[in-house]
Amino acid sequence: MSANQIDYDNLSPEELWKKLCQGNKKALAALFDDYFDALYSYGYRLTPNTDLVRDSIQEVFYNLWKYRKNIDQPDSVEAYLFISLRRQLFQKKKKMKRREDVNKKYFSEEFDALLNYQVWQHALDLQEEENEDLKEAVTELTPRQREVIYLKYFEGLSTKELADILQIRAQSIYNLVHDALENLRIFLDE
Amino acid sequence: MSETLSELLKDDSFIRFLKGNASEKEKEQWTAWMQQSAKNKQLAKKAQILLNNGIQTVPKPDSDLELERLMERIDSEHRYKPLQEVKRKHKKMVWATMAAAAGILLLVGFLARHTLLQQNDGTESSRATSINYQLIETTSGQKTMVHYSDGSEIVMNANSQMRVPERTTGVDTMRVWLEGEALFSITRKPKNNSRTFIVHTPDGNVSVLGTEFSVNTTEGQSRVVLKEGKVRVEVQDSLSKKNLQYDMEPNQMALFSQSLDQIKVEQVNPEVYTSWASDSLVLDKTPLSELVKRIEFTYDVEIVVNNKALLDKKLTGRFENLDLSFILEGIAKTLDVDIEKREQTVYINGKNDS
Repeated sequence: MSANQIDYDNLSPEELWKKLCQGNKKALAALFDDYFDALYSYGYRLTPNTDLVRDSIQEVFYNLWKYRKNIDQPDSVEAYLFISLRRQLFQKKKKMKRREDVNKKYFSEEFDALLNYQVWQHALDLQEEENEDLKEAVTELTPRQREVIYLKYFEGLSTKELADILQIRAQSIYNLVHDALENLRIFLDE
Repeated sequence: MSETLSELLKDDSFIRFLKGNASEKEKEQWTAWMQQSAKNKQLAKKAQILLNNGIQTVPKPDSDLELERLMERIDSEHRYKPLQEVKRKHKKMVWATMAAAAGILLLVGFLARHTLLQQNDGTESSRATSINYQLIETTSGQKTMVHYSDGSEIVMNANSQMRVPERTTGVDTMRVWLEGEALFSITRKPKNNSRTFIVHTPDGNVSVLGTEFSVNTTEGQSRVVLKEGKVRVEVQDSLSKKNLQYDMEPNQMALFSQSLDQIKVEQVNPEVYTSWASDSLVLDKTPLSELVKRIEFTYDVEIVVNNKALLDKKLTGRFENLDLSFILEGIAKTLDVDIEKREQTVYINGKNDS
């Protein structure tokens, strides 16, 4: 790489955002590259439909490019991408749901964050039986609790970013996390 | 600082530390904390393992190919085909033609809701270029009317969008593109100056010769309801070229979809399917499941019925007040159920349900 070339891999999402807003396609590609996996993993847990998630991610970046002159720089580019994907998926899901048989699937929200229970069992030194109880405890969490836990612990998003994505107050995020951890406490603190 | 894993996980600063987002000061603090005792170190290690590997990964598509798809779309927009649409290619063509033009024709179709407004069916575009179209949209609980100088009228139901021509004069084929639901009342032209009226939907076209009919595209099947006159429903499978057709009599409803190989016909009260246009809601042995669909579509709410047996309960009556709370109250009284509305969700529970 020559000296006057930009090393896109080392730019922060915020710097990439600025460049892409100036019409730099390489910055858009770099941002896509940086976030595709994380967005896909998140989207797939909201709707386990590969094509739908892939199309929605295309939509997010296509719109970002198309409306780049009119979008203000967000506080967190990462949160912006998650919010946009979430919105896309919910819109598409809503349209799909209308076609489905009545009441076949009436979940206002779903979020399937499957834990890798083997890792948990090993790290927390759980007995086989306790591991089954842990699975049950996780199943009993609300979809929203699972979504918060996923984004906070596995994607590493901040409370403020989470509040933006889920459109609820920061205090509610704390409460969701707190309640979820209380439910899992016997396994964590054994 | 905390002594248990569950307490540590509640500490945002600790999570930032493990995720590598912590400030220099925080890093120093947590590093010092880890060095305080073997137990602390052990706790941090456990948390680190859970955060790094504690979630099941999902198989991911190749991001390079996805990026290619994005770039191709940006470079040449018209070539882009969403995956969802590609898979829908093998759909059937659906249309209804009017056989005898006497009287009022009423037609209600339930077709797949889709982004037809951007859709170009290839056969129609060239001649339509000289006509100006406008896009009309309605939101939840809203209705709108379009009047034309020749007396034709279109009433659009809530949560719908439609592209309509700005005028009807000088047009031998009038076309609209609908997503949602609308009632059309189209004035007939003199005999030798007949005009074709076509409603484009994602599944095909509904074409008639000046009449009154209503089209809805919010479900995965097509539904035609005839009030007066005579109508022919034709379904053609684009692959097998097999044609299905049925000549409808008044007060009949025809149902057909992409997954059915036949046209189902039932006797119905047509008012049930068009009453929305006149600001009333008519029910005639209508199952709750049907009413639930209608309310969800019109008011953009979600309805959760916990006791599935309730869905088969039939309701008969007429609501003159289309306020949602009024309708819900009516249902609650008639079926003797509890109804609770929280934000955009309505819960219908039988009284004996736990």
